[in-house]
Amino acid sequence: MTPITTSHYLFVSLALLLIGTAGVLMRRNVIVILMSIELILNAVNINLIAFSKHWGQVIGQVFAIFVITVAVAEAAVGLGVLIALYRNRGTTQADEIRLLKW
Amino acid sequence: MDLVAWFWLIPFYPLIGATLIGVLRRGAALIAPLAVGLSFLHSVAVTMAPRPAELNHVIGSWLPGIPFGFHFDSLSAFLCLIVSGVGLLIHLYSLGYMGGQENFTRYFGSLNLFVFFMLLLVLANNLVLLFAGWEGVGLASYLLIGFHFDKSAANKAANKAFLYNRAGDAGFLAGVFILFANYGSVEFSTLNRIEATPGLLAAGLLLAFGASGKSAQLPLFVWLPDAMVGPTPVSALIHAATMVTAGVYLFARLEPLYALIPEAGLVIAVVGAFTAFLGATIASVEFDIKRILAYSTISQLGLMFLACGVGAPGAALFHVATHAFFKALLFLCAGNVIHALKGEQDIRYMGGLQRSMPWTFRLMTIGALGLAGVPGLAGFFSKDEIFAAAAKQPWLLGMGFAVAFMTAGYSSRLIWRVFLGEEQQPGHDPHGWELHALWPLAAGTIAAGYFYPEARHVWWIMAVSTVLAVVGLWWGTRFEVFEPLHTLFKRRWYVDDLYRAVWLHGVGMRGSRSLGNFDANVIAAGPLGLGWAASIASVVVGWFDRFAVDGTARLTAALFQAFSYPVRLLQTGGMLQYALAVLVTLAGFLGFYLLRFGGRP
Repeated sequence: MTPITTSHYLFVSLALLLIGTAGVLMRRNVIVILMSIELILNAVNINLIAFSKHWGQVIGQVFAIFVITVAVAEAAVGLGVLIALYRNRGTTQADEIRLLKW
Repeated sequence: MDLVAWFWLIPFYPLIGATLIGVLRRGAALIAPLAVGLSFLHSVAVTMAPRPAELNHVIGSWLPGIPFGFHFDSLSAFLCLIVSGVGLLIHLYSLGYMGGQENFTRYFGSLNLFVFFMLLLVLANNLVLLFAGWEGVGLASYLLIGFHFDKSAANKAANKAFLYNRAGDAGFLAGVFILFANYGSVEFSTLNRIEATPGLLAAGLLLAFGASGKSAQLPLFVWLPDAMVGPTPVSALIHAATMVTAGVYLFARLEPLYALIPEAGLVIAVVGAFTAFLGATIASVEFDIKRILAYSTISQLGLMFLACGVGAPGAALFHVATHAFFKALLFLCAGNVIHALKGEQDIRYMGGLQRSMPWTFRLMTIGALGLAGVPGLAGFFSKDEIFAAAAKQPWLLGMGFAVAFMTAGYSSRLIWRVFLGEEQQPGHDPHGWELHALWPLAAGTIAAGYFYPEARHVWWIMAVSTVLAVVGLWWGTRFEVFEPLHTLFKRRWYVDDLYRAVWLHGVGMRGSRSLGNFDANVIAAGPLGLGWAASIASVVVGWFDRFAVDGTARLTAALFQAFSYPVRLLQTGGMLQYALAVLVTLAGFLGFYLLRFGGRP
């Protein structure tokens, strides 16, 4: 059985990144899009920690903690915006909300 | 202080008084009689004191060649005494008569101003300063005739007086110009030593025209009866002391000058005679108590002009003095009657006042007898002096006698209608100043005739005028005027109507209409043309603005819109498409990076 190397971690991270990106682009429900963004952030976290272990430095892990914190805040703000959006527009479908048009 | 050397202060007391009243306003009215009283006392002092025959004082140079100077001789002394003396009595009377009226102080301020200008007029040493006083009395009379400025009749009468005076003043000024152009001076001392030149006759006649305006003679007499709407003491002041005597004073002052031009004298005498006759006839049929007295003044002034015209200004001035006494007395008594009857002025509604107003009756009878020329009273002597002077021209003398007869007639008619006969409504005698101011006037009416130094006493004239006075007085009690003549007199010989027709309808209306046309068609062309030019220019500018300026702005906007259209299509607002675009771009950069550098940094 081959040991689990840094490359493995990177592949998992890559997979998560692709899944998250595909989710952001393809799903229409804003809640799911937010969840996909969480996946992308976690892919970054795995990357950071993998390289932290690989280079034997703790800074990467500190960054990961920061990213998690920011992700929590982002999720809170994002869900708040979502609720306000639902109350005003009556929908959470991203393609029905075209507020960014000129 | 040396009162004689400071004689030129005499006019300035009333001026200071008027100024103080104007500044202090309420409650300052008592200053007015005080100021005139000072003038009177000063005049008396200077007249009585030993002094040279002529006093001169020049305050300073006024206009080029015209000093601001004063001159005092026996003529000035005489008029100063009359103006300030009678003026003082009228001021005192006014204290009672105008008491409690609104604008009491304004009245006294104007009254003081009036006296100031008249004293300035009689003390001036040149024609221009005299003219300043001359204009000033016109102004003051305007203020006082229009004293009740809330009544339209008062305003109209004030304007009428001012405008007729103005017409005379135009002639006066022209005369002064001619004299100045010919002799280079307007001082009396120079003018009374000149040689005759061709312009002198014209100047003399023009000055006489000015005098006819101020002294209410033909052709400019019509303002004086209308001026009766002013307060009664003002009428007394205008008729007795100030204003109307100015013309006579002018002739007396320029006596040597007029001696050079007997033709002008003849004109003045004829004008005076006709005015005297006309005034007397109108006074005989008038019913307004004050208007009777006004026409009587016009008539008496006509006699004075007659005397001036035949070269006897001394007699004219004598008549000025006696007339001042009895006319002031008559006017102030008339004021008392009007007061007692609460504003009634029509003698048809008076009668029998003898019982309720005994003192006014006695005083007014003295005045009327003086006016009528009853022997022994002042008017008799002064009138006879005029007749004696006119005796050289029998027809002038005849007119004078006719006037004397009618004067006696309307005097007795006045007394008869007002005080005798049936009592219509009761009056009451006045008290205080309204009565006591009259005693000196009555005394003057009785006594003034005996103080004329150059009296000639032509006995046959005295006899004739005595008879005329007595017959006239009798005629006045049973008064009848032949009917067509009555209408003629009642319409004032159609002089007013003639002026109305000629000046108002003929010249005034037509002139104003043609001036209006000129204004509408010629003068207005400029502004109208400018207006048209401006509106055309504004249309052009409007076009430029709409097409050039707005066009540029709109074209720019349209261009931007057109070119931005494809860009707008990209901006769909779809969040996911944007995200895809971001991703594709990142992927593109990454792919470019990998292909270009093969993955190596």
